Amino acid sequence: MSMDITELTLGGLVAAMEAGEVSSVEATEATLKKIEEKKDLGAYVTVCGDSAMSAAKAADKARAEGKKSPLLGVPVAVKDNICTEGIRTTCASKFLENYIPPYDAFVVRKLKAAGAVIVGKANMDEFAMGSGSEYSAFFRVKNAIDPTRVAGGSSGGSACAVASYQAYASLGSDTGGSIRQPAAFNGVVGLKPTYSAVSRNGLIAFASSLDQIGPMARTVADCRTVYDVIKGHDAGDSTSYAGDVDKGDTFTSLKGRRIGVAKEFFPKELNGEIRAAIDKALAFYESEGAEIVETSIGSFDMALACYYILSSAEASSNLSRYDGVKYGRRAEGCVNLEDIYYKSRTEFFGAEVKRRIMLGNFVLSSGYYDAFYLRASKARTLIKKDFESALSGCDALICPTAPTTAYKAGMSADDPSAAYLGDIFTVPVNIAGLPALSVKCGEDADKLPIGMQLIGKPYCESTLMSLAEIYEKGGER
Amino acid sequence: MEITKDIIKHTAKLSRINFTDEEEAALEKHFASVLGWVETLNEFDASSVPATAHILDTVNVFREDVPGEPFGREKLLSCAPERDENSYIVPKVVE
Repeated sequence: MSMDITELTLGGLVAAMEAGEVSSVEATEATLKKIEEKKDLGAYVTVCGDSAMSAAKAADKARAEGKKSPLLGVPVAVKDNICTEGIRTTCASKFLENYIPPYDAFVVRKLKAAGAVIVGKANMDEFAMGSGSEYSAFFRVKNAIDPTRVAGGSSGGSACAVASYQAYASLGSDTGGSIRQPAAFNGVVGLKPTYSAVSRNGLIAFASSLDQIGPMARTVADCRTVYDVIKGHDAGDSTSYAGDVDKGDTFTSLKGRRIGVAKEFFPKELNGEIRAAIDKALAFYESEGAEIVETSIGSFDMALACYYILSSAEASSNLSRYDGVKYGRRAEGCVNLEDIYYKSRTEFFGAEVKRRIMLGNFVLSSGYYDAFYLRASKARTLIKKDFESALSGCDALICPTAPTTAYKAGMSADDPSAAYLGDIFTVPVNIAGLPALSVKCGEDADKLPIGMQLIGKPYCESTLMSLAEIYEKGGER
Repeated sequence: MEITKDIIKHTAKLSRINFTDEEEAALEKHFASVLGWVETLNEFDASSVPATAHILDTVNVFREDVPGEPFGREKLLSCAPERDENSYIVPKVVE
C-alpha cells in the first residue's frame, strides 16, 4: 500500500490485514515510527517497541493459521494507570516511576486475548487528577490539532495518540470526564461506559465509585469494536456487573427516537460557538426524524461541588496506600516509619495530587464529615434521581462535552480551582454512574474541535453509539 | 466557613504530607475557593434524603472459597523499594 497505513481506521486496518494487503508487523512498525516522529506531543510515557513487535509477529502468524479475532494485530495504546505485566505503569507519577506491575489488568488481558498489539503506555495527569494532562510528573501532553494548547485530561495521551495516528485506538479512564473531554479537545470519539460495565481490576484507583475504563478511537465503529472486547463481568472486581451489559439498541434510523435537552446544560455564559454547534447537531437529529424533548436536571448546579467532595474523599483514602513500603518509591534517608510516610509522600506526589488528598482528608475529618461528605453523598442521590427521571422519557440526553474548546497550555496554573469548572458537563454523569460518549460536532473559529456529549441509560452504550454513528455519517464535523 | 491555618496543618498531618509556609497559604486559598461552591449543596433539605455511596444496588458479592494460584512471593517483593530475600525492610518500629 502506498498510503500512510497509520491513517487507516481500526476497521480499515483489520479489513486490509484480512485481505492480506498489510501485515500487523507493517502496521506496528509504521505506528512505532509515527510515535518517534511525534514524540514531541508527549502522548506516551513508555513505548514498548520490542514487546509490540513480538505481539505483531505472533498476530501475523495466528492470522496465517486462520485465526480471527476483533483486534488481531491492531496497534493500541493503554493509559498509564492501567496495569500491564512486565511493562512500567507510572500513573504519570514520580511515586510509581519504577513500578512494574506483577499482573495485567482485566482489560489488558481482554485486549491481548483479542490479539491487540500494545505499543505504549499513554501519558496523563498524575493519578488521573486533572483536565489538561499538564499535571503529568514527566512532561505535558500537547493537543494533536494545536500543540500550543492542552490535550485535555486526564486521558490526554490516549486521545492525542489516537488523533495523531500514533495508535488505532486506546484505552482511557474516566472519573469526571477524563475520557470524554480529551476526546472532545482532540476531535476523536470517547466512550465512558456505565459504572460497573467494564472491570476496574488492575486500574490504579483514583475514586473507586466513579472510575471507569473506556475506549477512544477515530470512529464510533472503532470505539464499539474495542468496547465489545473489554466490557463484561469479572469476578476479580466485586463492583463488576454480573447481569446483561447490553440493554441498549442498535439502529440506523432515528424514527421514533427521542433526544432530551436539559435547560441546565445551556447556561447563559456558555461559549456561543459551542452552543451553535450543539444546536446544529440537534437540528440534524430532528431533521432525520428524532423528536427533541425538553427536560430538566434540577440538581445540576450541585454536581461540581458534589463531585469534588466525593472524588477527593475517595482519592485521599485510595492514595493512603502509597507509603513507600510495598511498592513505588521510598525517599532517601528515612530514620523511622513515620519518616518514610512523610518524606516519600511529600517528595513523590505532585501539587495537584496533594491538593486532592488534602481536600479529601478534610471533608472526611472529624467535625466536617456531616457537613461535607455526607451532604455530598445525599446530593448524589438527588442527581442520580434527576437523571433517571430525565432519561425515562428519551433515549439519550445531549449537551456539550466541555464548556470550551482546548485552551492554551499553562492557563490552569494560576487558579487550579477555576480549571475544575471545565468539568461541569461531564462530572454529573459519573456521579449518576451513566454511560456517555463524546463525538466531534464541529469546529470553532480556530479550527479546534467541538465535542458533543450523549448521555444514556445504564448499560445502553449501543444506543449512544448508534446515535453518534448516525451523526458521524450525516452531521457536520 | 473559614479555612484557617490550623485546619490546613491538621489536615496535612492526617495526609502525612509536609508543606512549606507558602504551600500552606496556597492551600488555604484553594480550600476556600472550592468550599465556596459547596454552598450550593446547602440548598436542599438533607434530612429526608438517603446517602448514595455508589450507584449499584449490589450489597455483598460472595463467591465460593476455592483455592487458587496466588501471586508468587518473588514477583510481589520485586516491586518493593527495600527488601531482603523474604520480606519488606522498614526501619526498626519497636524500640
